[in-house]
Amino acid sequence: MTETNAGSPHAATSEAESDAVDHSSSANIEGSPVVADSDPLLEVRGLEKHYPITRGFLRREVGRVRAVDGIDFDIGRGEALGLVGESGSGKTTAAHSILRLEEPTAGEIVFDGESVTDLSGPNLRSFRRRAQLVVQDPNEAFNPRLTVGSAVAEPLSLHGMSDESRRRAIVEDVLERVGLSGDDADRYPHEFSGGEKQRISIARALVCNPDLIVADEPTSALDARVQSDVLALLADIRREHDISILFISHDLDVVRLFCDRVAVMYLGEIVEQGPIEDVLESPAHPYTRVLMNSVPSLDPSDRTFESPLTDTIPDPGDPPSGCRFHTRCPELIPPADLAVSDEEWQTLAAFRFTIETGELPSAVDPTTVGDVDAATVREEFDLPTELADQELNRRIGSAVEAVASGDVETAGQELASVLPTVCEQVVPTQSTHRGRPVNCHRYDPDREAEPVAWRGAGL
Amino acid sequence: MSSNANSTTTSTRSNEPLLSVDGLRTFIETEREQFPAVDGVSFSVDRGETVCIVGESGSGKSVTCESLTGIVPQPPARITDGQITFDGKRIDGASERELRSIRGDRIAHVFQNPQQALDPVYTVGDQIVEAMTIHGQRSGTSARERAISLLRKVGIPRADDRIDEYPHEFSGGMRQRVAIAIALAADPDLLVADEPTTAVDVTVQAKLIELLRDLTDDDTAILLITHDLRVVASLADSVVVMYGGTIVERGPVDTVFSTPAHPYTQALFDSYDGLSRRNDRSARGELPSDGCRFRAECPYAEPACEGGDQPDFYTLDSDADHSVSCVHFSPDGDPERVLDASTEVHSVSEVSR
Repeated sequence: MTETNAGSPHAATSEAESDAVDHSSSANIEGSPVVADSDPLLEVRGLEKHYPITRGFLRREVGRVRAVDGIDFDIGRGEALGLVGESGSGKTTAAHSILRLEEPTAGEIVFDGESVTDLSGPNLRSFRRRAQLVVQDPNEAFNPRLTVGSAVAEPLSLHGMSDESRRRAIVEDVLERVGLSGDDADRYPHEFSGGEKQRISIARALVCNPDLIVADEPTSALDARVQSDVLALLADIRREHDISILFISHDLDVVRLFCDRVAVMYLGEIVEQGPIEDVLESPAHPYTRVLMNSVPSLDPSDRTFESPLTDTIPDPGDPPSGCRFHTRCPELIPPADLAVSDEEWQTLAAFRFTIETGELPSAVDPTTVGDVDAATVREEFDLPTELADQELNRRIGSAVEAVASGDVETAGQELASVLPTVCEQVVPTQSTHRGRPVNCHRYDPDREAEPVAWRGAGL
Repeated sequence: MSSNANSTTTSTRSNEPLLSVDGLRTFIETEREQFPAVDGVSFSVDRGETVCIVGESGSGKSVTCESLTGIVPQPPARITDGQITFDGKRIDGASERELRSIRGDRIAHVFQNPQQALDPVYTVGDQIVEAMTIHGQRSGTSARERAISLLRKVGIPRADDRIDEYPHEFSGGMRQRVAIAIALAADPDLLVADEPTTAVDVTVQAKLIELLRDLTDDDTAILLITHDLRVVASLADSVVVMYGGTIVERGPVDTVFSTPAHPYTQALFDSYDGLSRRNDRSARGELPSDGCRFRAECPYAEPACEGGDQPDFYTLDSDADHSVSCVHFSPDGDPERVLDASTEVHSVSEVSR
């Protein structure tokens, strides 16, 4: 199987055909007609990857970093899914777990109708031939002492193709397909520019005729136009060979230009996913909105950013309770009986969670500044001086006093008890917004809170 | 801003730029060849102004900025030509000693990768204090206090604790803030920042952009190098577009973004608009070393684009400060041919959707 399939689809049409026949026959065995929607190439269910935090001589487990904590998504045949999020959101760990470069802690990965979670030996090798990885930094992807030709041919030899002249023919062909020339096979990586090296990485991924390419920030190290070239190349290849792509990026622009669908990750979870136009046109999850609001507009007269409540990304080893985004969420849900305006609530919530993260602004940090008075604290957090609710007023006042006197812990407890939110208490279940899944209480019909209208501009 | 910017001289200075560069040429020499990485570049930066140099790798934008204070490694680089005037004084051809008194003190650099600027074995506080003492500022307790206030200024929480931490204890975005704090230690008049936000997340980038904006409120001028038009739109007062070692277009950010004139600038905007695969030859080809360097890729190229120096700069009708080095904008040319095609595609509203 490995031997016969290990050819470029271009150079070895017969193999490509038999490969295609393989796909459809396996689909037929399960009795399902070949319809892209009902038969995704890749199904990921409940994928988890936890890293134990151990301590001491016995390496006792004292905690876990939940890098990926139960994610679900599908990728259709020939489809490109973007996986976006800040660093530390678990995007790359998810990708590595899917390729079994790291062993998942739990969950199921089904590739072309077959579970890959328990594959080993030749079956695992065959899966890895069909699912290839392209990494971000093309400078680190190559052995400087190997010619480009040997680097590109390496997967072929690994997967058992021993005929050297045949390997060479395939390599030259695949180099030409990525916009280089066959002669480039005899040159060394340092002779190529960053964009060209990334083309060579793509060539190396293509040489085994894969069905899935996992591209981890493939163009982040490149200039805008070179980036555009490489993406256009990937798009052509995807169309020509119906290759599915899992595209990992922190850059919403390239995801917008390249992907059909997008999934947004935060602290190991997917918070929202859907068709790229829909998500960018009307992002539902507050985190997606924060990401979009952080992208500078191309219009120089529009220079405002809307910030999250707090800037600190929580520790994935100790993620916040309830909705993991609640400590930064500008759309945090107020308690039903709290008589404050939306603006007041936002200000109070920002006060609360800044106190809880302990990252006090310098002006009110009692450890840096000698004497902090209550007025400075109010000013720094822009707190309303007079709230309609007398009881609330009094308790905010006492929290302010506590901050001023340096007792941040008491202030935090006071604020937590007077400003509770469902978002910290209950893990949101998956709701549906315009036909796509969103994990946010505001979209849950059983909750009183309504979605906040999206007023931002698109990208 | 120490003694340099006292109020008595402000009025005479307001008219002359803080930095002006005229005809800068820097060659890079290798064993096999020598080529002009920067080939006749002229621009200026006013006090408190933010000027962005946009271009891709190999455009000469970094070499230009590293030539200003001679931090470009020589050899392989050789600065052969050009006048650089800083605060009314010529600094091209200045001795290493003179340059050292300007570097860091008056003109400070921040790089894409803060690792380059930070020493892993010293605490960030030591490094800021070192930067201050080298430049003849204070030392001892007052230096430490000022270091804390600089860390606060760049938005690092719990500054008085964190001052004793090492670079590896900071996140990428925070490390870049520390690098900026070090650059600000000597109260420079000009901050030269080479892709300072390229390696960070969008949320962190937004914070860094706001921080850089606050600096210009204090009258620090910024020369920012980037390939990201979004960063330019969010920060620049003026834009300089470089290609193949030459400036191809320059002007106020508003007009350059509403009417990108040079075909290369237009191509840059195109890359935000959709995927277009350049033909592989032009993507890889050698650049011409005379005339218009962009002509090999230019859809409007004609024989007039070849040979001699780069095309003269012509002013656009819409804005006298906006000029472009392209023969189609000469009195005999037909700028509409280039602009018409662009206005449909490149209007800001459409690009930013």
